[in-house]
Amino acid sequence: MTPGPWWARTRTTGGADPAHAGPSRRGFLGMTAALALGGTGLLTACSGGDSGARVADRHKDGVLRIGVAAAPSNLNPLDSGAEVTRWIAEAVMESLYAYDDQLNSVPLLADGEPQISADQLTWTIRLKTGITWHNGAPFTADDVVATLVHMLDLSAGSEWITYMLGYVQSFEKADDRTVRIVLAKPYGLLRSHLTNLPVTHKDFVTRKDTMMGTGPYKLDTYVPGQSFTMSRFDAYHGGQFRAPFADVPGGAAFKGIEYTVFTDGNTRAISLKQGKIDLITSPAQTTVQKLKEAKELAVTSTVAPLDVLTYVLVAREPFSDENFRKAVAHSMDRDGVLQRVYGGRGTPGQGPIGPGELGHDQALSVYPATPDLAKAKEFLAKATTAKRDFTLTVGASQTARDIAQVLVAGWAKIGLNVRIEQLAGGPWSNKWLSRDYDMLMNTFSSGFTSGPANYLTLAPASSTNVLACGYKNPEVDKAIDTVWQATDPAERTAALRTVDRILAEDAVIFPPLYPELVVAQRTELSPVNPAQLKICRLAPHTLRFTG
Amino acid sequence: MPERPRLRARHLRHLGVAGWTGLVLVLLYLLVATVGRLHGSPTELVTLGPEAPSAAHPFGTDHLGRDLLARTAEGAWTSLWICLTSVGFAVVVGTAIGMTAGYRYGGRLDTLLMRGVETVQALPQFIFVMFVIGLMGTGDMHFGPVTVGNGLRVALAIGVGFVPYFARVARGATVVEMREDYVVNLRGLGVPAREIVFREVLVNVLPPVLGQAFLAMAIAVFAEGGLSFLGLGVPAPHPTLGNLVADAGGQILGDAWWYATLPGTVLVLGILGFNLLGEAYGERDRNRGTRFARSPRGGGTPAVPAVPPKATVTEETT
Amino acid sequence: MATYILRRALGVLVVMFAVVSGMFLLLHVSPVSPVNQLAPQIAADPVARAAFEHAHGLDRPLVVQYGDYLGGLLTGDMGTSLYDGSDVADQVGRALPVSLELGFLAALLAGIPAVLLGTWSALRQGRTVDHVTRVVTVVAMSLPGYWLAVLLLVSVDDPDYLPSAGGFVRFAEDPVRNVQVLLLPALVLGLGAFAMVTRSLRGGLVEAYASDHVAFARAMGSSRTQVLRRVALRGAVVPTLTVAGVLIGGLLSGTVLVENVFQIPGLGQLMVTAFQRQDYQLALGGCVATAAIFLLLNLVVDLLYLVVDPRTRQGLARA
Repeated sequence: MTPGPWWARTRTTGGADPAHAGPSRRGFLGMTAALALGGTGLLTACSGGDSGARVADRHKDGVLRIGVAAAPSNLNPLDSGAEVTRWIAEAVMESLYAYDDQLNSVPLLADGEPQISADQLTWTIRLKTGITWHNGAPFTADDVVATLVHMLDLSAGSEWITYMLGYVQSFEKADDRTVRIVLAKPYGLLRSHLTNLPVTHKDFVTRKDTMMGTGPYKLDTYVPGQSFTMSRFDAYHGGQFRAPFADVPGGAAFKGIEYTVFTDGNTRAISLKQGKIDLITSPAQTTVQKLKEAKELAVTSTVAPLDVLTYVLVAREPFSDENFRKAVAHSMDRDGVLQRVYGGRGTPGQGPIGPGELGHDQALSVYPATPDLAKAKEFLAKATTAKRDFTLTVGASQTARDIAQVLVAGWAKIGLNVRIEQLAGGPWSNKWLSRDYDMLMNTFSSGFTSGPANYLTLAPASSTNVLACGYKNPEVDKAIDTVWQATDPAERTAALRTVDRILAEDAVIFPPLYPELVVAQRTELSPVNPAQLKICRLAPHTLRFTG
Repeated sequence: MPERPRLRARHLRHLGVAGWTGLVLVLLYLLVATVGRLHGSPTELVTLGPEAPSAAHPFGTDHLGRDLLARTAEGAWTSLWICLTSVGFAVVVGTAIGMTAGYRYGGRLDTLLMRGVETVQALPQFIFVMFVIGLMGTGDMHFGPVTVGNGLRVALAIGVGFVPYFARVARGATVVEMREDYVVNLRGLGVPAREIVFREVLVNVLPPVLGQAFLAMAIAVFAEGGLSFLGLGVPAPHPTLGNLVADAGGQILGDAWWYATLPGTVLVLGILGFNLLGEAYGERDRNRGTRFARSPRGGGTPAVPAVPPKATVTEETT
Repeated sequence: MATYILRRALGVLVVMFAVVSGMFLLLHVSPVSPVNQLAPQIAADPVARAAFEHAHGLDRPLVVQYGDYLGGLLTGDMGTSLYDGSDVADQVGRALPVSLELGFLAALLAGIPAVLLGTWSALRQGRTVDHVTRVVTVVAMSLPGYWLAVLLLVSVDDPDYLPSAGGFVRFAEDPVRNVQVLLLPALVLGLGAFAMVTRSLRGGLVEAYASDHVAFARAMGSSRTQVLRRVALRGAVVPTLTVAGVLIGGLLSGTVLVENVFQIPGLGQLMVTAFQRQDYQLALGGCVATAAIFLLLNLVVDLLYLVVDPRTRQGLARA
């Protein structure tokens, strides 16, 4: 018997014998392999086969299967713009307006453009008729008002409230198919919110355990944390999706959609490779190369509004010191994060606005991709603060942890001692809100809350915002106000560029990189719509099986 | 535990094959922990992405390009420190509780203490430790000027989980000892109780307790790894063996075999080494004729299920 | 004997009560607050915090909350999760069968080879098989299940055998697929139990063989297998039962880690998630359920003693 380590008997690890434990270990390994884990070889033997045949066979039931990395515990898409919730809600829920493939905001549940009063403080929106909810009830103004009121209710805990506070005064039902929104001050950005905020039935606004929408698919059943099963909604009104599939009744190609959660990146990749699923989101960085090599798979990497939120508390030492901030920014290992954590799929960061977002300035180049240690040390020498250590608070994901570890190793080179603190979503946000941090960082995709832009990212730089980091610059304040209030897109874009440049130059918001959005799919599925990917959406209801 | 080397030296001859193997494995573990720490920094990025073991990086590098030998060593060191602290804590507290109960054998205090111990043991040990960690939250804790950092927090949680085992062993040994003629005689001579307990009884209670300590070390290494693995232990970037294995699981494709196997092997070295030492110690006890025989089942003390102390410690290494 | 059983059962109830009380009080005086986990708009706003606490009854006196919880527990109500408002008893009820099945499967996979190997090595005491068994078992006891599980994840690439979350299939849905996905986790989980049972069985058998009963039976002309079946094996069961309590504890602890690696939606995974989210109502529910099972199984083991070992029965009759 040649008792190599039992794991070496499977595909990859030839001759890897950690011989530390000597003969007893060898003996054991042989024995265990025979006794307890002998099945492993068998398992590998019966794996494989033709994945194409498996896919063809599976597609007979007309169900699209998508593998996602995480599942929401709260299913209410009104509460969260996070992609874990919204990826599942995409085909179920609709909003008043929607993005077409040129990323213009076009009416969906609304009947035409909103009528805005001369003083810009009253928006009147007509609603489409003849739309029914998945439970058969007709869609009315009551539902829209209930949705909006829920969002503005402090105790409901909806993420959207941050966008609305201070601007929105009230929501009213004018008649059964007209809604009126009264504002405290002009709020051009409202159009963006109405294009992203899903609308739900009035009885379901507080429900966290189900989704009630008007979309082409209805949520039938789900197992918390595991799978979500949807079927085609036959009474679908057609909406914007009739166009691509005019030949398909109901405007959608699949009989059903099933989301399955695979938290482990390897399992997700293998399941796709073996044809058990058709599409996966966020493939683990380490698996992307293998997925690319497989001819029956396609990997799409798109510039999208994905951010690594990065904030420093300007109100407190050491980041109150501009030279200290610049030293940190110049010694940030942007390229290290890009290569080591994202496998090169992304762009090194400058200011808060990335290439997938409105107002990005490609020419802006304040910081080098690889750390400029000499310059950083110069700034550090000029700094008046004596502190050489701070805490970096990151979100709970593996990616966030890896980003932090690469950055901290880089900062150590100019003598900065940085402690990493990893917190789950709630406590992380609380640090943000209560202004109890040195540097905050987390991954965030803003496509579901602001389309091809990211407005929330800028909020902390405004001196009056609830999230204010203590930075005071009238020019930035004014520009951010313009971003919020302007109705003219060109005016908003110009203001965004100004903010982006100033915040980068003053080292207030300086993310390490702008990641790309990566998805992988079977080639038996039509390619994911690149236009919708640009706003983080998979739009599964616009896909179909090919071949 | 300063007693350990002395004990080892005294009983070296009795170690037997298992004991010697255990000793060698523990020394190997320590060797990796020391050599690796001299090898380099556990946080510095030395390669771009994972690289297979080479002369420059004997354990290879991890997914961020850090030297795995240095990380494994740092992890082994941290684990060892946490385990020594937790077992040390449990030995002191457990022995104190157990001896008090044994001294008051059958009394109300005995019943009360043993009920407490039994309550703690109503949860499997690892789950109990998880519960304690959950109680303490994830951040540093502040008790006035004293800050309990993350490592100490984990050590204390594991330590508390061990207290019942040591309390039982110490109580059993104390009860047996208190019945011995010499104690009765000393009492008769009017020697104060405190003196009897600390001078005479303690000396005879400690050997079985310390015997259990080796097995407890094995479990502690396992439990620390498990906690870190679940993200409830020492946080990144500080490596522990559990962190490393967890990272490997979350990151690695089959190609980087070294990532999951090498740190894990060191982890196994530690657990196996301490298990063997504990077994050798138990064997020696058996050969000498154990003084505290299995407590009679169902007789006299309903509060204490008669689980022989030997068995109490092999838990958790599943 | 009936009195003994009654007394033991009563003892279990008392301990259970102490456990529930202890955990409840400790959780409520701990610095961990579930409100911190809520959306920042609530968590950072004192008014919203108070409103939430009031809505969930967290602002009532501890005694009232405690009485409420105990009362609920008696009627099978474990409260609602603070994280997503779901029913705790419901979640525990869904997760428990999965863990029990996993544990049962692991015990089965561990038990059968353990009995065979333990007997074999006892019959060949001092020979190669015996030595190898000893080495194998001590190593098996020292292999952390979570590490083995990671190695399996890395080396097995057939998703049919990897239950990672979505891949998990319930027994009611498809029994074959269910056993298929639980196979690897059960093997990993059972390894430690296998080692312990093998060791104690071997030890018990060796001791039993050396006893007068066996010598007598042999002298009366019984064959070796007969002796093994009639006398020795029964004698060996008692020490094996003695480690059973520990084994059960090990299996329960092990499920936490193994379920976590393989993403099996069992009780262990439920508790880990609850602790990570500081959802203490759910964590408490999970711990109470675990403690109940642990105590109950230990009680069963105690009663089994009475069945298996007549000596214990006599001892009780005298007491």
